[in-house]
Amino acid sequence: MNTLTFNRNEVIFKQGSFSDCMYDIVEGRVGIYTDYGTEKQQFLADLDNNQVVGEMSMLEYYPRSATAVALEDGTVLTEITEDELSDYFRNKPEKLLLIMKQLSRRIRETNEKYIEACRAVYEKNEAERNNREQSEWLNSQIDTMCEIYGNYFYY
Amino acid sequence: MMDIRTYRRGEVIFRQGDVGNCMYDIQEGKVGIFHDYKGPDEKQLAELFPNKIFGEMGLLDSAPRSATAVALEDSTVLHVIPEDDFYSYFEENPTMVLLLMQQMCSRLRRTSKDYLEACRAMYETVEAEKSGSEKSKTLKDKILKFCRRYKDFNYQAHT
Repeated sequence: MNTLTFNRNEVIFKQGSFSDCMYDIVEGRVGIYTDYGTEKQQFLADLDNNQVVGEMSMLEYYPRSATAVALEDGTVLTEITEDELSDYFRNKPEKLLLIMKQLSRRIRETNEKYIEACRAVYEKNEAERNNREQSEWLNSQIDTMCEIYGNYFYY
Repeated sequence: MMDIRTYRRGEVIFRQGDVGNCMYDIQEGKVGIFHDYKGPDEKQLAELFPNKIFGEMGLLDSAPRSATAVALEDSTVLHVIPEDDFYSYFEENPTMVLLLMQQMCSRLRRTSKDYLEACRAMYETVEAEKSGSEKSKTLKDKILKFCRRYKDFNYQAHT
């Protein structure tokens, strides 16, 4: 597994980029931001040693949902690719449990969102066919779904 | 000390809606996973054989069980694994646990993809509406698919 060192303010990975690895923080601190470097920049989290970053987008095959930036000089990270996961977990089984818990929660949440999305498609279809007005719930769902798709398409 | 339990044919292992806190590794026998077991909408979702882990969401998430698990044969033997036993179980069966994690990833990717497709169908519907154009046949088929999904939504056997 590769070990990488970063200086303060160096970008580790960028929001929207394709992810193929995660990082175990050995030393230093990592800041997580959305819209990094723009006026809309939002700070999400501050992670330090023994925490893992980027695991979900690697496992989900999604583009990175945020930018990770080294907050200190001498921030050291272990880079772990999907192939190296087994070895990594054998050494750190507590990380395996942590990640599996996140996966489990994410599966449940995504499933719930999916059901709601199907319901919205159904209700919009019904509203069109019967020339009915769209409920407030439906309008709000439509906005959310269009934004989700719009963001993904943008990447 | 491993927690090994034996079940008779027809015995319920856990029920849909119950709070879960452990997962199971099938040593012998057969387990059926059912939606609405013994109810009007009963549907068997899966049949599981030895060397299969199920109920992992209960251990990982403590979420209510999304389906009922029933022993389908006499002498169905299960290794019951609560969170406290997770590490020792992983030490003894690393391949099975890693395989389980991979399966969970696949499941997440599939559901994410489905969700994104539904969002896309909605987006394209709205675009067609805005431009006053006719929906393509592909789009109409997709809308039908999601309508059907909504109507007969059975939670998958992810207990």
